[in-house]
Amino acid sequence: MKEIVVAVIGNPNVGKSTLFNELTGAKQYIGNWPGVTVEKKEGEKIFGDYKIRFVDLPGTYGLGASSIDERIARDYIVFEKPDVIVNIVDASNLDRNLYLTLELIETGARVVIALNMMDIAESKGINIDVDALSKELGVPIVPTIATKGVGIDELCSVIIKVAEGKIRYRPPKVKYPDTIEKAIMEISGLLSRITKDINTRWLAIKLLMQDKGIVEYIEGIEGGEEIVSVARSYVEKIRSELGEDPLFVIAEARYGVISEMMQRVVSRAYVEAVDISDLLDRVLTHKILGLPIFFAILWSVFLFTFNVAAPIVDGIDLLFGWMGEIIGSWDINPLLKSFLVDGVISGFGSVLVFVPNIFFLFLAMAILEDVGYMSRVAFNLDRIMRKFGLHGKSVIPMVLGFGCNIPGIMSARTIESEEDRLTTILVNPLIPCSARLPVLIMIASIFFGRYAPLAVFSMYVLGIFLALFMAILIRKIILRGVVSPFVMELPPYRLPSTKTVTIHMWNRGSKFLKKAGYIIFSATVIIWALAALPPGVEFGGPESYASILGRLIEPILRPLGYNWQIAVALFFGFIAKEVFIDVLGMLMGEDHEAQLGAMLSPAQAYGLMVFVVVYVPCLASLATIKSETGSWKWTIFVCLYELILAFILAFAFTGLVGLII
Amino acid sequence: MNVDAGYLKKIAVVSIVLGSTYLAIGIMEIASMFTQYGIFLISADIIGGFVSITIGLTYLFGIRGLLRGNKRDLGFPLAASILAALYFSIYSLILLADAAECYILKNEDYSGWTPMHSLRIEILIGAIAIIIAVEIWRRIKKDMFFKKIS
Repeated sequence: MKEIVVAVIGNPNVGKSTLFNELTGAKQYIGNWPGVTVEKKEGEKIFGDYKIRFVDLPGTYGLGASSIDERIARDYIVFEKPDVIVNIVDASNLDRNLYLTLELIETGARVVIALNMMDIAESKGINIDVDALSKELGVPIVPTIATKGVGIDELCSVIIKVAEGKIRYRPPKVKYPDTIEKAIMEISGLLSRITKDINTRWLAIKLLMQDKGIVEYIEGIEGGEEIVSVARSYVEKIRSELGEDPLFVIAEARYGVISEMMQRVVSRAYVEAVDISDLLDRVLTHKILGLPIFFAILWSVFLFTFNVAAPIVDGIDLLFGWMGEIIGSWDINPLLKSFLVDGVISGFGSVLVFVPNIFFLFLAMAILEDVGYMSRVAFNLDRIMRKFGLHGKSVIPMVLGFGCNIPGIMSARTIESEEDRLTTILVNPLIPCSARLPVLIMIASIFFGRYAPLAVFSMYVLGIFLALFMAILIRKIILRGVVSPFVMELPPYRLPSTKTVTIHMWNRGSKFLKKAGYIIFSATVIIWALAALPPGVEFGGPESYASILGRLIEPILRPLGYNWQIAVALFFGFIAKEVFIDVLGMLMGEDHEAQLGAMLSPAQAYGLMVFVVVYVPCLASLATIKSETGSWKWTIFVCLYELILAFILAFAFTGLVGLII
Repeated sequence: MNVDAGYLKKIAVVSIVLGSTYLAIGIMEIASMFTQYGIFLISADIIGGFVSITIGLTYLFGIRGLLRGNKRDLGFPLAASILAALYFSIYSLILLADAAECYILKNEDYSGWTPMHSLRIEILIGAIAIIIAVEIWRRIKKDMFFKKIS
């Protein structure tokens, strides 16, 4: 079977994820782009005699290198050279999307356009002459409606024809002003002597646009430095002749081509009177109502995650209890029985019980994302973020942090300013991730009864507040500077696609399951061994290694009212936060919840929740902070400030809640 | 009927009724937290109260514009009704989850539970809000969305 590699690229919010999911279904592999920690998604589709491997590139408006996402997309297209590039274009927003298309065509790549959201364009009375547009651009175009799976097979069939060379390309050449054309010709001629693999006209344009990544690439080739210096002299010449930077002249010429093209291929049957997204945005981004509505929606997510998932959680809990009883009655080796009952069932099982909560949380977040509400959250919070010294783009890492801090920290890479990016990374671990959710739910359920969702919700509000508070401190004391401006696009609202939502939920939820399988189970084995050894001691008894370790840490935590078992749980929670429950389950046995209830007062329990939210990030988050900041200094800084903050806040909240209750 | 001044006035009246009701429910839900007296179908729920007040205010914020004939202010009752519908769904799902705890899992914490324990007034009013949301949505789609170029 022949294989075709297809890169999928498009502006943000053009339905790229939906189309990618439609093309690949559940056959997706998630990894990282080489050298960086940005998520790389790949999927496959068998179509006829071909295996088509789709590579999902980050959403981008152009092939510049102002952010890591843009650089990844550009480098993949230019240097990796996939067989075909599928450029997803929003039919209802054609002019804005065609800028990227023109850039792609200029690279000389074999482009197929998926003209997506045709239904929305039609409902807005936008008529696109697809054949005429295809002739203008010189590339094949397939109209699609990703949310309904329309045009998918046709798209695959065109991809194969393009890969087989059965479709001829006649791409247009954007005509730039004469001064620029002359410069392009000369630089292109020089470039053709040192590089054969990449379209030299496109490289020349990029050199004139002073694209940092391309300048560095050319300088790295023998003889490249001279060409870069020629390009620089042309840049100066163009500036003096045209009175403008070549970057703007080139962009203007491209928009001119698009504008003329639009007049020839697009007609409008209606004048838009009211857009339903505009109507809703008047309210959802309202300066007074926007935030209360956001909190109301966030609360609904909590009720869904906590209360609606409760019977499934309790059902799994009953199942593990039953399994514990069955295995407990087996006549097998006592050490093996102890491992199965005390380790696997009581420890590992107590973490797995919360899997439904995790999936419900991810389901709710996937729906909000697919509807288009998450962009409004960023918009609403941007005004506040700015006051706290955070960049508007920091909202997305913070929102992602609710799921897992690792992608949250990684996604800060889209922020251009180093100070803004560092601040976002340093405060991200304060956002309670889904791993902390089971711990919070367990403690809140034991101590706060029907107010448990409120207690958990308050931890999320505290986490957001602390992140903002620390951001302002960091920006005022350590990383001084002005917050860079932020332009944001609000996509139209749309009904969520079941397939996209399900795939999103599964991709994220399965990460938790994998983590449970590897990290938490490994931690279970270690902690079980510490509790069961040296041989002959009572499991988790005062002579066990676990107890010895716990008693070493206990004095530090004693002022907060935590005993050695909690100390060990917090210590191992550093590996992965859910391990906290795992450890308590093992050290206190199946009735660990009852024991914990007797051990702490509600005020101390609330303080413990605060401690769990704030104290050191998990091991994987710390590794990510190290790789993203490239500095041990910042990694240690995060550990230290969080640990100090956790002590102060847990102490303060224990006292405060003690006064109220 | 088109989206004319008369239609907008009708929606404004509905907004006044629903907005005031949600506002009153929200205040009672918060007040119930601090009193020992329970009110029928009203839960003592501070955040639930905050949510109801938010829904109520969203309805009420649109009234002035609607009475002045501003079609774009239909967004307020539409957004409020969508939010009310969201909570209708959430509270209904919680009622079903509680029923599952009581009747299927036989959870001790739910002994003596009846559907009335989890029935909230937001479920009843939310049903009306859903009808309003659908009505406004349909009307906007039909009469306001686009004007034909003549």
